[in-house]
Amino acid sequence: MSERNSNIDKLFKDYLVGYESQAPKGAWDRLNSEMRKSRSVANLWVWRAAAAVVLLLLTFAAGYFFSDYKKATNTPIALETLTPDQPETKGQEIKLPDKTKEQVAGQIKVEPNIQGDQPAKKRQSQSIPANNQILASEANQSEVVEDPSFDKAIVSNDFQEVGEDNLEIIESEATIAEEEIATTETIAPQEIPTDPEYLKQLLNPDMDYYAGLEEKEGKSSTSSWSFGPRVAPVYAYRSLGADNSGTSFNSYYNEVEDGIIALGAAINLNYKFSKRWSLNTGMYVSRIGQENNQVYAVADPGGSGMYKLSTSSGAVYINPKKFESVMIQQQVSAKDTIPGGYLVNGSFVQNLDYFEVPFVMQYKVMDQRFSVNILGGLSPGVLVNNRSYFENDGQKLQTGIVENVNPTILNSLLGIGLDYSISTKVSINMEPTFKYSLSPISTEGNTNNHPYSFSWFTGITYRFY
Amino acid sequence: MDQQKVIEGCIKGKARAQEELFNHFANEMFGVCIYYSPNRADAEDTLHEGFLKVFQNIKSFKGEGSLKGWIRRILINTALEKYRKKNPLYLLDDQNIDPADDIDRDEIISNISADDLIALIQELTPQYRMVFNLYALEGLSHKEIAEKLNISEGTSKSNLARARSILQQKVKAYFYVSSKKLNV
Repeated sequence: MSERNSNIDKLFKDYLVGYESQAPKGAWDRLNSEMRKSRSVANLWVWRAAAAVVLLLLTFAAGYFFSDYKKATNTPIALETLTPDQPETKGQEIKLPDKTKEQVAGQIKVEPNIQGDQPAKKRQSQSIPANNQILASEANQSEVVEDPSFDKAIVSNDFQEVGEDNLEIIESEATIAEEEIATTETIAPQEIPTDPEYLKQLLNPDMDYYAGLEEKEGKSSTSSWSFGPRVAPVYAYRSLGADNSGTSFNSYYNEVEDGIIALGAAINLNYKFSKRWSLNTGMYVSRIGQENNQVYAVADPGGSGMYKLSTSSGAVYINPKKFESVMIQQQVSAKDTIPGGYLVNGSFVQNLDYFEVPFVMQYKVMDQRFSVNILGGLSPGVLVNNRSYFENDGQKLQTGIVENVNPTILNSLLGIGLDYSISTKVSINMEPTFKYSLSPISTEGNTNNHPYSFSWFTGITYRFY
Repeated sequence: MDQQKVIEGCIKGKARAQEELFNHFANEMFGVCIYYSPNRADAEDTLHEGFLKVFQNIKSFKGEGSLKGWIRRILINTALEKYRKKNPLYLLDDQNIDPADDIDRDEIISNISADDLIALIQELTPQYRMVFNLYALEGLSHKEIAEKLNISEGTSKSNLARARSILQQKVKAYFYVSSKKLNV
């Protein structure tokens, strides 16, 4: 028995180990063709990543230069030294907005050249940046000095000329050690609600909801950043424009192709630069594509050995083995305009994923806890995924890329933004959005295929101040 | 073929080096693909996918062992992957096969060709074919075969026994038919 086994094993081993057979003709061409595609896709990824990084940097740079963050970080700092043997003034300096100063002017006592009982210390400014005129101009107008121990404020008007070298800021001894850096805005938030004008403003029903919150928290600026993740179900399809070379196929494509349902995702970044207007940007990944429910294909006239399947967004060349596994019969209908076509079982799906950095203007129509916005803008993108597959009974058979797809896209975008604030910093959002590609999807241009999509984004937004 | 130069060219993605490597090994590797596949068309597919993997992974070839052996292993693994994908729950025919009488190897050798043997192997069920090839041609143990095909060692042993028995019967039948033809 064992010898018999050994015999049969040895028979096959002797014959088959080292056995050679002529490799099929065109095997190298097919292999080389596929490797060329993967090489070009790999190179494209590098360019796409670089483009995405540059776009993001530009976005953040624009945000930085137009935001109040820049102003805040550039606020000049008056470096001060303590000079002994000068009379000390009791009380603490408070600089108020002009309006507030006017409001309190009638209630406070003006008393120039206040001198304290204790030995004085003078804080003298050493340098003030050239672009800062605020300290000097405010000092020229008036100086509000409050003495907490006597619960009163004192305005001094005795500064007639204040230069860069002799600006004097007077402070109580107790706070000198704690406060080394003076800024132009030092309003204590707890002081503000006692102002009747401010309370009146808060009660005004027409007042901006966010502005109210900002002022309540001591923020005078309406600008702010916010960001948050969003996801959306997407219905994507395309419109075919009239084209002299492609019109004969458009009716066929419209008959056999359908839209697809997909998912979109985004990290949204919003910069609010006025009470009503803001700019939306961020990173979006959106899928477009189509589904072909009556697939037929032809042997590639180019002789590559592949099967060519034409769609309105471009041709797909399919490996013969894969194609033959889904092929059901040869097309013999009289309507068949291309001889030698084959019908295919199942549907053929094309997916094109674009990474987009949108620039969308947002206008707040209704501004309450529940706010309504109108959105409009442009969304340029780069292709990050190009695939197609046959789908039959839930099974997917990957078939390769769609040829001649435009690696970049420029979408126009319209939408409505619905925000509901669940706290001062967090809100939930819904954005029904329509997007239409201004650029055709294919570089061939036979069908003038322009993708469009409807998305319903849902997400959370976190606001910064 | 200057193997080192060709490998370096392939690592750099140069099409000329890749073509040279492919042409050098294509026929021999296609032979391997044929007896691991049920038909010639599947073998072509295996050759294509296998060489794609060879070029994608050639950086990992460290020069330990022969390049031919390395490529051969990749192609066999590609054939096994295809087998696993196509036959995830392949049910074997469990009918008893009568043990064949012993065969006279020397007598057969003079009347049979490699193509004939490949045709017989391709008639085996996919799992019998894989087990027989891995054991008889590649010299793997039943433990190694069990791991590769995700079956038990016992199944591997019984599959091998059945594959051998079927092949013996087929070879004998083939030899009988051939002898009769020769006599005529």
